Amino acid sequence: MPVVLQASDNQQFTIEKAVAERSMLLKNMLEDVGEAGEPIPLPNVAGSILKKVIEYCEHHKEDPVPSAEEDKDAFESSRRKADDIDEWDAQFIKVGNEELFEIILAANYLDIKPLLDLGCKTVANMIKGKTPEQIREMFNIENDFTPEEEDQIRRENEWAADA
Amino acid sequence: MSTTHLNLLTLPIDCLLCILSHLPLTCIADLSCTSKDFKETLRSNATHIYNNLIPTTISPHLLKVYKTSRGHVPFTEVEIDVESRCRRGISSVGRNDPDPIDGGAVYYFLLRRHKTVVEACGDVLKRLVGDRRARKVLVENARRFGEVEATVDDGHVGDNVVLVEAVRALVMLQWTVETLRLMGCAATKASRSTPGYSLVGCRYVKLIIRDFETIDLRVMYHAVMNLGSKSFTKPSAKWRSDAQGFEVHHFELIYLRPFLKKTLADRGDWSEEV
Repeated sequence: MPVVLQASDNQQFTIEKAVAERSMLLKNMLEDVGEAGEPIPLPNVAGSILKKVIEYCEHHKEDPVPSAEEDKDAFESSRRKADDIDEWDAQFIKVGNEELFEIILAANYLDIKPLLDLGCKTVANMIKGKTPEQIREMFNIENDFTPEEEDQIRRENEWAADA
Repeated sequence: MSTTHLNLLTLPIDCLLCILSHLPLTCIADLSCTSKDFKETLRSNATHIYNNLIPTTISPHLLKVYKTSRGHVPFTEVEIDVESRCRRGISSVGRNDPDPIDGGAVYYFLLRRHKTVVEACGDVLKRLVGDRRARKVLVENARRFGEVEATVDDGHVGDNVVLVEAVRALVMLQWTVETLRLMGCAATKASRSTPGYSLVGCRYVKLIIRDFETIDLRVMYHAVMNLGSKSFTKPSAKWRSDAQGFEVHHFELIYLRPFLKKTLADRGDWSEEV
């Protein structure tokens, strides 16, 4: 039985149940309400982003879903390797920063942990090796510290490098 | 790509914490320097952030030692709190401290041992695991910490268990040497020409060693014997009048080893097999 998803801009996407169930939100919803055939409204996700999320779920529909505690542990240990992003995933997530943030928000809303993790790893990799000034510039963060305050924070943080 | 209207802080806290879970501590520290909002957000989620960092940056063997130590020296609450706060320049927790929770204390304590013991002493750990006599004592210690059942034969204990005990032995030795260094001034000042002699006779050192159980001293003895050229002191050719008094070459082997030997003998627990 296919599942119909309706994005915030009313675009509709018909997908396999197995694909929809990559999202814990949709999985639980389908279990609770059954397969009514009605479109499932997703008011927090735009059509263009939902299309992208579906592309990810289609590709990963055969992946094991972490459910039991031991699977969660295995998932936790594998997800912590920030550098080892699968080749397909790396290509998939090569998007503009605005789209990347939208994908992270959608993955968080739809509760798709591997996709959330992929997005977060990508942002983390963008931050690594950057100075605070570069991070500010990259993410449009306003520096509201006085030079004295900034100096104080840097001193407070020195232990992080010296531990 | 334009990022002018994107701000990391607009992400929900769960997403932000997920991003932080993939960053090393130095990057997180840099993030806290970017703005007041960021600093406050990171500060208010410090415990969560540090708990995330522990499994990604601390050796699983050291983590096992910590988890099984049940507050045994050096992993007592006081040790962790005082050392972490002193070294990070955080003021001590007092009765009137508005924020008595320091999420970073355990992380810092473990991180320091990870760097000084696990990372810096990989060859020593290998030697300890491969040393037949040391292995026997390490397995005995593993039984004491409940890591090996009493019924399991020594020959059937895996290398992984022994490696955890080797880390435990070295952590204990590092802590002891560091504590002796802190007491060094009182311990050795009276005898600057023969610091080792005064160490054996010094009551302060005895006080430090006194609380150790015999098995602690035995594992430390084997740790010393497998140090090779490694030392937890920073040797200095000239006498220093501060608390670094006995930072001599091979302090562990030349001064601590005879002291451990004598203490074990005094307790009637010395043999050539230790």
